[in-house]
This record gives sequence, C-alpha cells and structure tokens, in this order.
Amino acid sequence: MSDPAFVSAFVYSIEKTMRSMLGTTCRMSSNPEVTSGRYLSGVVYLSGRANGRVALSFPLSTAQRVVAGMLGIAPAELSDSLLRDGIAEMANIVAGNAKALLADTPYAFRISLPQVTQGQSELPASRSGQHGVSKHFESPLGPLVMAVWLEQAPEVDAQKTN
Amino acid sequence: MTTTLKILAVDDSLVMQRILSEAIESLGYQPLRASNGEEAIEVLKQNVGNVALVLLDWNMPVMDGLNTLRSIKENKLLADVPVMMVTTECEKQHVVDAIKAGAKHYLTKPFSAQDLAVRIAECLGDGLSEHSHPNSEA
Repeated sequence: MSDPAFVSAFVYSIEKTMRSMLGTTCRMSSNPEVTSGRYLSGVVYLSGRANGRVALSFPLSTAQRVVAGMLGIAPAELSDSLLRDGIAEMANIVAGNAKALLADTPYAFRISLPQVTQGQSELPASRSGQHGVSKHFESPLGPLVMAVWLEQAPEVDAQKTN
Repeated sequence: MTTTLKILAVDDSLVMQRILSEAIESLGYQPLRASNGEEAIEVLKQNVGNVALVLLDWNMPVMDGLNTLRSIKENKLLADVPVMMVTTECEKQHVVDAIKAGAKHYLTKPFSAQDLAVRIAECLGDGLSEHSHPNSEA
C-alpha cells in the first residue's frame, strides 16, 4: 500500500484537478494546518486488482470555496445540495485520473459513483482491516486531505516484502 | 423568426451541468440538461432537429454514457447529432470504444473553462455547414 507510485497517482491527480478546474495551486504539506470542525468528504470506491476507497476531505470553508470557484460564484450563493454535488464531482475527477494513470499497473481499478459524507475528516485510522495512507495539501482556497485505503494490496506489496 | 440551436449537457453532477451550461451560453447556444442517459434520450426526442451537439458524461446512474451514445446512434431520428464525450474515463480503450460507438470528439476531465469552450467551438465548427448558426434568422 505504501508503494509511492500508487499514492503519487492520486497526488498528481489532485494537483492537476485543482489547477485545471480552479486555476489554483495545490501542494502537499509537510506541516499540515490542523483544522477543527466539520469536514465534507467525497468518497469513491475502488475495485479490480486494487480494492479499497479514496476520500478527499475538505474543511467546510474550503469545500465552499472550492465548489464556488468551480461555478464562478460566491460561497454564500451555494446551496447545500450544490456543495455536496461539487465535492462528489471533485472526488470523481481525481479518482478517474488516478485510475487512468494506474491502468497498466498491478493497482489497476474501476471506480464507483462518488458519495459524500460529512463529519470528521476521513483518515485511514477510521477504518480497520485496510491499509491506508493520508496526505495533506495546502491551497489558496484552504487545506484538504486525501486518504486512500486498500484491502491487502496486490502483488507489488508481496514482492517487496519477500 | 429567430432560432437558437441547443446543446445538451448530460452529467449526473449538477455542478458539472452548470459548468457545461455556462460554456454553452457563452457560445450563444441554448443549454439543455439531463442527469443520465434515459433523460438525455427523452430530451433529444423532444428537440429533434434543434440540438447541435451532445456533451456526454460516461459514469452515470440509470444509463451510462457509452450505452447512451449507442442508443443515440441506433435511433434514426437522433443519429446525426454529434456527440462529444466529457468524462474522467481517459484510458485508450475507453476512447476507442467511444469513437467506435460514434462519438465525434472526446474531452477528459479535468478541464479549464477555456479548454471547454474551445473544444465545443471546434465541434460546432465541424457541423456549422449542416446546421443554422445560433441566433441566425430562420
């Protein structure tokens, strides 16, 4: 699960999606801003050679700025349904691009339709029995967290541990 | 009488529908919206002869984009409407499948607003000789 190529595909997809859809930078942070309060998470399930899920978690204020930015409107103009829909679409785009990058690797997967959850940030520790990793990002629109879980990883991990 | 040609945006994301619609309006066309393939077919049947282009997502509930594309191309009334896939599905096999099924263009998400407008304009440029220009006198 700690295969850098697997995680890098998602990192690259997040940076590309933020740049293309919002015209903004987004970089991994080694000193993540700790944000209390509620998070909105877009979750996509992965199935195939790799099985698991990926979640993009945004503090509520970041989520509002991101979706408002996608639509070119003020955050105050967003309805709750549009906000959730936008976060789902962000997760869908990020997962879809990572899927393409990993298509010819042992981590090839299909993706589900996106779901949205609200509550605490989606971190690997929140689900047992799976191998997870999280990465924090900073952007002018606020911080966000990407977390990926896999069930027992495919051949790549087995080869590395043998 | 003034007529405005329409462009149908098919995507289960309301946010993406709005993004596509804004680009459509910026080019002088009237946007139509559908959230899945079945809705798209119904909208097209209600607007036969007035739709210049379909922008079609791939991953959608009820009827996905590829099956929607096939249904459009199998319907004699709708088959001539050009379709551009607008999707996260960007592996080579997906592109090949879509082109074989009759897609004319393919745009992968994510995209910038400028990319989107340019690609739509390119699609419409191909077909302008066959359709009246938006806002033209009928």
